[in-house]
Amino acid sequence: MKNSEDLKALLDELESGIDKCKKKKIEEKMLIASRLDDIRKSRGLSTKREFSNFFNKRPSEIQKWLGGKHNFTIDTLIEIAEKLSIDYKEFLFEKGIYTRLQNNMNCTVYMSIPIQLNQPIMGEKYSTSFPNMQILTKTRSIKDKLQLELKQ
Amino acid sequence: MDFKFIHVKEAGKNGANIYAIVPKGQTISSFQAFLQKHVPTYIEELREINTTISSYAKYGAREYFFQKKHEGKHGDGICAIFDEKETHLRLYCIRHSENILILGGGGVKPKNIRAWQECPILSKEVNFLIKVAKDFRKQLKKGIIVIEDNKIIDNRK
Repeated sequence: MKNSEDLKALLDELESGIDKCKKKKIEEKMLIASRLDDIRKSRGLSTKREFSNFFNKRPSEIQKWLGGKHNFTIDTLIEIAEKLSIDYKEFLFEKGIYTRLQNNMNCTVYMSIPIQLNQPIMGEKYSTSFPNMQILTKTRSIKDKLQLELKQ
Repeated sequence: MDFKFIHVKEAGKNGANIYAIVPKGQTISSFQAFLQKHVPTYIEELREINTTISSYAKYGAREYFFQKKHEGKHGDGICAIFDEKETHLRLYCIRHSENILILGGGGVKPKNIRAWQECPILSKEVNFLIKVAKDFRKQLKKGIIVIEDNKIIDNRK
């Protein structure tokens, strides 16, 4: 088992040592690409060619969008979202979460708010950017993150 | 062909389970050997590659995430993972599906070559993965290795 522990320790070291901003950039680019890919599939645009025809773009451009490394501008995201008749913020949340928030359904959102151990979290003020939504409960989740349940 | 799989990262809700391969006679996976070899020189690149792999675990090993889809033979699913700027390192893997990714080994891609075939170290890693991919498919067909809930169940003795 020592070798698998060594691997885990090595991966943990790589994980903890990365610049947080760089990590977030990689993750968010992949999130946006995966959301775009989900929407592509849900619209029945099964090939890159169909998707590129839909946007009137070259397939190489679509490959860039879906590749998970493209640095989208807000302008581009809005243009893509308008063409798909969705809110561009859909690209910024994992599948289903934004729609549920928009529909004012109960939804649990994991927010990356670091909290210190032994520090009270109830009673602290957090706000949401979603209209008509209130924080229903706040609980401590694994890895020192705050779990918020939002409700209309 | 003898090798075993080890589970490296757990899949998120719509993500991929990540595995590594331990070749026969070795005590560590090719992936671990790759990391250990290059940590002293290319730690920042490895950190980016590790974050990318974690994102595959979270969002899935999606087809379009892999720019060069067929590093090996057509249909064997062999792809390369590298940092954002494709700087030095190449880590090779078998993309079995959106939900299963098997990591192999890799190395430094010299600047003066275009393809892995031109580098003996990379060739060794990719050729090994081509054999693993072929054997993996064969064992799947025979039902000796099965996929259940997007996880590899290896029933070989």
